[in-house]
Amino acid sequence: MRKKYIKRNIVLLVTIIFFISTVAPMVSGSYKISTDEKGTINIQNRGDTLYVGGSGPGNYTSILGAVNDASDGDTVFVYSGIYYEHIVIGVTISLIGEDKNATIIDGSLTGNCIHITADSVVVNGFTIRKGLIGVNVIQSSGQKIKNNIIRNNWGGINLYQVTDAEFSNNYVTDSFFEGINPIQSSGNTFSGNKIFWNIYGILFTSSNDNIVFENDIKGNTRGIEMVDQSNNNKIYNNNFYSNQEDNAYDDFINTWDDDYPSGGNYWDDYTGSDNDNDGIGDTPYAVPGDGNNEDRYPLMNPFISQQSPETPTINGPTAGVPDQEYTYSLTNTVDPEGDLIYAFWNWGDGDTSEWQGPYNSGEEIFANHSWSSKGTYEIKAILRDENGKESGWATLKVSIPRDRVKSNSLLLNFIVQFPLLGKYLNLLLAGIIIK
Amino acid sequence: MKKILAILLVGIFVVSIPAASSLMLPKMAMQNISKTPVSTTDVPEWADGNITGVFALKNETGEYEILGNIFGYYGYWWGNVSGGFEGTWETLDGNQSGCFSGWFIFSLALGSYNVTGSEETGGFISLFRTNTTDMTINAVAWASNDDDYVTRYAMCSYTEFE
Repeated sequence: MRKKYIKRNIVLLVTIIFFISTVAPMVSGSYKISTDEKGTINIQNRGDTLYVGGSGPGNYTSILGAVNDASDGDTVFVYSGIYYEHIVIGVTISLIGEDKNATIIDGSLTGNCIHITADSVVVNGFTIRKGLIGVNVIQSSGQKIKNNIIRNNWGGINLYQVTDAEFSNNYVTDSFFEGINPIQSSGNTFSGNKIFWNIYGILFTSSNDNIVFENDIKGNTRGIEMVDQSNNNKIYNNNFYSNQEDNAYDDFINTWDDDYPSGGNYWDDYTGSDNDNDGIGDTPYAVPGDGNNEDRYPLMNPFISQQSPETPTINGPTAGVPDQEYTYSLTNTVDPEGDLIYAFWNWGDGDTSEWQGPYNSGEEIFANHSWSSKGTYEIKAILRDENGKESGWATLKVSIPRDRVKSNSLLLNFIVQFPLLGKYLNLLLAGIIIK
Repeated sequence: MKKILAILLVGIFVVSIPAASSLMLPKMAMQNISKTPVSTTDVPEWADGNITGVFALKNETGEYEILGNIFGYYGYWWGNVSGGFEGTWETLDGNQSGCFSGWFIFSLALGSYNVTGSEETGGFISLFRTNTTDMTINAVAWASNDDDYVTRYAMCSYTEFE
């Protein structure tokens, strides 16, 4: 009975291998394939990377061309250059520029530079200029628009019915009208941006429950204004300088501080004093407008945002054998403020650590890992301080020799295409092992 | 100091008109609006320069739509921070046109407009920004008449007369 069972399964395995040898070469794409502690094969689409510009064979010449060919989860990487385009993004992708100063999307003032309708799109590392709107996000959520220079557009960033998106570390400058204009949008965060020389720095229109913090808002005709029943937004730890008409104007009900001791905002026209020398003015700052809003804890000096920890260095062996545990360490783990830090490891084989720590600033951090299959893996590690500021990623490549027993990328690729077959294979292998 | 002066002037201006509300304020200049469109060739004596450009709206989703063209003249009163202006507007299809006039101080402009061949008139209050490098003026205006209240955008280049 046992022999018959094994024989039947071997026939099935041979059949599968036959399919692999004929069908698998057609498979394309990149997947994260891992097994959990129960031995179940898990398959997750990790996405392809499509390249635009540069000199690589087959690279796209237009960003829109690559975006149109991209699928959910893909990355479109754009090499430096000037791209005169109006890009429409309707799938969940990451659009990454090589160098934000030199990777330029120019809308020629004839349309929007980037128009996003899909959830969770990332746009990082571009100069976005001369669009009717630089970045236009419509009826979607979860985008991350960060590290861009958005300048000389009619409107820098426009949101219409957008929720839970993040706009961070962008320069939004010299817009003809609004730097940022959320319309009927809620739950979004705007942080670490430099919003300079627009008519409106940020104009909230019928938008609620957004958070604005750690931005520099300077030289606009009006820094921030709330119109059309924009309520319950929270604005704190921003610096307001030299805005021509008003630093802010609010006819509605919004929160302009983060309680004590985090404090409110720095206002260059605040005239109060700080007799107790806690860095916070002793009298509130009255926000202009009919909403009778006030910043209860105006900062006496410009807010200086927390610095990120330095990018650490990974130390340890760069070659090894499967199933052997190796020890790696992180050095150069200094946080500029001396904050406690946490470390996160990505071992390149689908395994990641939890956030480990806390550790003292500058302390060497150790972790162990083993790889079960042959391959070249890239270890990545990142630090986060107690205030949530993250370092850059440290990387180290590790080569693990071939492991004939466990490695079969063709098989895995095949399983990717036929997930039900993967489940059957799990049962089959379990059956063989048990028998 | 300039800002205090501006606030003071605007304050005096408002106080001098009893019962003026913020929405009624733009209508103050309506009495002075020209019924005759300004000409591109006959330059008024008071003009220190002209402006030419487009005006637009933002649609429901926040996208800009160009509605038409504007042309006008401006003249300074005190230094180059205040003055008056007068001009004409016309929709892209040429079906509607009219005149506008008003005054400005620092980054604030107030004025009024009419529609040719119609009784429609209205006022506007505007924030604007001048870029002396590329000689442009951009403005966001809230225009109101008896029935409606809209936001309009203007993007113009300007030429200073010798």
